[in-house]
Amino acid sequence: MKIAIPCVQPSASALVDDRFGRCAYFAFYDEETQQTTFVENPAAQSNEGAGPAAAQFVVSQGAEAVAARQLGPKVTSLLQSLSVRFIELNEADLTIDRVIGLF
Amino acid sequence: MIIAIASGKGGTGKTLVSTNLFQVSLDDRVDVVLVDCDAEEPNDAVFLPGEPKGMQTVTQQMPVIDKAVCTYCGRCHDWCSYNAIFFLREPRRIDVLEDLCHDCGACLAACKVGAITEKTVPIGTLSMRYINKRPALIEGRTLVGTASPVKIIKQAISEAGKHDLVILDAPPGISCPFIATVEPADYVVLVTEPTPFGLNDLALSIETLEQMGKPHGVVVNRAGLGDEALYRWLVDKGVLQLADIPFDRAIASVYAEGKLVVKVLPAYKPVFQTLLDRIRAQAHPSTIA
Amino acid sequence: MKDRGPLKEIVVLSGKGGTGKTSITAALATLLGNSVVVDCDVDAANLHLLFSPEVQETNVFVSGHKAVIDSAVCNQCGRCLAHCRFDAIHLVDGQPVIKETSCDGCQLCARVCPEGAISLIPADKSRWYKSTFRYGHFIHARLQPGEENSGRLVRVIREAATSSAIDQQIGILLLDGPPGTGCPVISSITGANIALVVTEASKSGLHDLKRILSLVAIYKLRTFVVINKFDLNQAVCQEMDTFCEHSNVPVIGRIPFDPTFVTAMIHCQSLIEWAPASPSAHVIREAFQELVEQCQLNVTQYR
Repeated sequence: MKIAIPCVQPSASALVDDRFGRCAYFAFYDEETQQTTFVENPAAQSNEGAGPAAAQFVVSQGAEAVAARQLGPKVTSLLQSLSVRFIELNEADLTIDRVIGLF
Repeated sequence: MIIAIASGKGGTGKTLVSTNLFQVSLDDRVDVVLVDCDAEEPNDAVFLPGEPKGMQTVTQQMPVIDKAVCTYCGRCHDWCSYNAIFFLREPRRIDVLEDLCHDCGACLAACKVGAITEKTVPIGTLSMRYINKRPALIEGRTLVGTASPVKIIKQAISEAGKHDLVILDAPPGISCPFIATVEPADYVVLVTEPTPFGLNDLALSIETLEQMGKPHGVVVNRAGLGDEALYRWLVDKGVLQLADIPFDRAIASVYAEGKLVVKVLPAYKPVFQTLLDRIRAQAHPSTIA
Repeated sequence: MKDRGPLKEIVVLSGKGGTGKTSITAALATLLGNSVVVDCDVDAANLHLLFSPEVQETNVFVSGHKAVIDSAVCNQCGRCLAHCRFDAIHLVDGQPVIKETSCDGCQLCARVCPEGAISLIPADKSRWYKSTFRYGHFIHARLQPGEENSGRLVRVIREAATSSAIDQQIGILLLDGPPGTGCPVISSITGANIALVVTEASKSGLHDLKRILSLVAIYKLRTFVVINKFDLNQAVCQEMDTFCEHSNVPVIGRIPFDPTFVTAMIHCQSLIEWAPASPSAHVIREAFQELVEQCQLNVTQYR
């Protein structure tokens, strides 16, 4: 399974970004290969609708799950309808490698 | 003649001036209509009698995508500047996110296979109140969740049609709803108070009106409350001071009850009467006797 | 890694303008002492007038895009005119011209132009500032007239304020919210823990109080109400008390109609600074203590 995680910097030691739609980068962790790639979030600078645009982006990149602090109602229902799992991160200030360690 | 009553921020007495100006015009047998353009928080109706009679729905167009015809080319999505079309090539998925749509028509123009049509959805209402069987108040009101009141404001103003005097109670602020209201006006009356907050907001409003080339004057509400800085500024800037409405607890009380000052406190009627005369003279300088 | 600690975010709201929201925010800022204060009323910012902040950092805010037509390239075919739904393109001596204040930035004109004569330029005249003032840090903004108040600017300055608070290890964020119940208000309350609603005892105040309370209820904020000018209309004030009781929202202050607020404003001071012994200051101080106790605010220094 490929998991998308919003983060503030493109590195494994970076913090999870509290925002989903306007996060700076997404980390894509592939459970099978155990590889992590970082991609800039193209939706971050949107005037409106950054959440749905970011959801569309991560799904188009093959993500089957999203691990994040919180999601807005629009994004939640979109991801649900696409059968993308939401993994809620309840702890503040997690780093990407800590999150990956959870899987 | 169209007059907009505006202020940089809420709570300065814009509605007080609009409704009382309307009443003195009516008493003066002027053919007058009041339009409440503060469509997000309309409250002119609180001060005027009568139940709304005619109710109209203001609508916008909303795209509908026929998924049987759609080729999933993604062009409509690329053309949408508002992220209002959710699109995935794999797995195939296309949806209109209605609350993000600005009704620009780009997706319709983008689609090459005719998969997009439009439906009509409500975004607000216009209601009409009559006094002595004549149209008196038109109120624009957004539905909760409507992104922009601009279309409702424009429609409310055009619904008013031509009268000797149309008074527009403008929304607060200096962003798009304010611009949409003052744009069709012949003259703009800015209501402020003689305090640092009032002056700061007035200066921003006047800057905007100067950019638009709109003639304007100022009504100082709660005169005597603050200090002289506002008056000095008006003189320095050469901005016309149309009227002073004194700071009087009695006015605040009458207003808080939802009543008209010119009816309950007739001593203040001349203030609004003079204001009306001066506005008319300003908007039609040729008619000054 | 910095410890975020329990950052408490207090947002001061009012359904309508002119209720005294900003004056009360200023009084709270004075009582809090060391805090990060954010003026979220980007459309008609006033709080800076009381606190004369020193700007440390100026940032550009791009509020959207506006179309411009290069008349040297345009062949006057009129296609843009036919497509624009915002009534933003007009003919001036046969030449299509964009009216900037009507343009929504949808780009459709640019896309349909066969000559490529239309481009979109960023609307970048709005600014936001990181400043310091006598009680700590102050984040504020100035929206360019006619630019969209999309709520995004509020979000930007809120995020800047949160990171300032974390950097400075300050536990309390105080936000002066925008008036109304629209998009910028929602941006200012998203993520806040505590809402203080300032209303005034008038019929329209009551109407707006109900609207704003229904909004904050959706976001599950700890909510408190202060009734300003409570003696303006006793009947309305009572109605407000009853409504708040039914809604389980405590009324923690009833401030009289008091011109001292304006005198304080003229002297660029908060009421607590200008008239610390006045009856209104007393009410605000008590309301503040109520907030501190009920929300267990970690207040290090207050008067």
